[in-house]
Amino acid sequence: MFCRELAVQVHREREAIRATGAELVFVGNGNTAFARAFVEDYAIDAPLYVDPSRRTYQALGMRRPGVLAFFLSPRLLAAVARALRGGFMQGPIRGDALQLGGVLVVGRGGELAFRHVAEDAGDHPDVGELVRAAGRARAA
Amino acid sequence: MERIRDDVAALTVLDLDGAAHPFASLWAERPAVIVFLRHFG
Repeated sequence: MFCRELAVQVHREREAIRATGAELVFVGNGNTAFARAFVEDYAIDAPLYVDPSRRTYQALGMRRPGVLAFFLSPRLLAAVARALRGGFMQGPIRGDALQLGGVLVVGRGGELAFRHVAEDAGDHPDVGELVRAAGRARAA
Repeated sequence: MERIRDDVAALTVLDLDGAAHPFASLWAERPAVIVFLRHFG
């Protein structure tokens, strides 16, 4: 449910991101068939890539906790309640169920204007902060 | 400001047609807000 919650929230702000001169890009860890279904189901109007090996996730420090640690996070339980209030139910999982995500804002020279690496599955960055970071990212 | 390491920038991601692209191509033309999804579900 959180994957979609964050994706939908950021996707809603795609025009605000583009207004800064940046582009919104999604990276998923499933295969391309799952990615195509995701694009269709959510009418995703942004570039989307996949990294089935999850090597970019690992290199950027995005964790893949064990099953027990994954489900015992107190913050995760609070986030479950939040997501349910927002109407986000968990659909069938297509990809690595335990892999955590994150968000980077990267300038044209590879500079990191923003990095958020999720501590648990409900740990999302503030979307307004992402848009502001996009405005700071070097465009030259 | 911290930069993405060159070895990370050189990693490969696939587009929806399965074609490989350097990770760095995602921010080569304009800054990018890159959302790493947990999974497609």
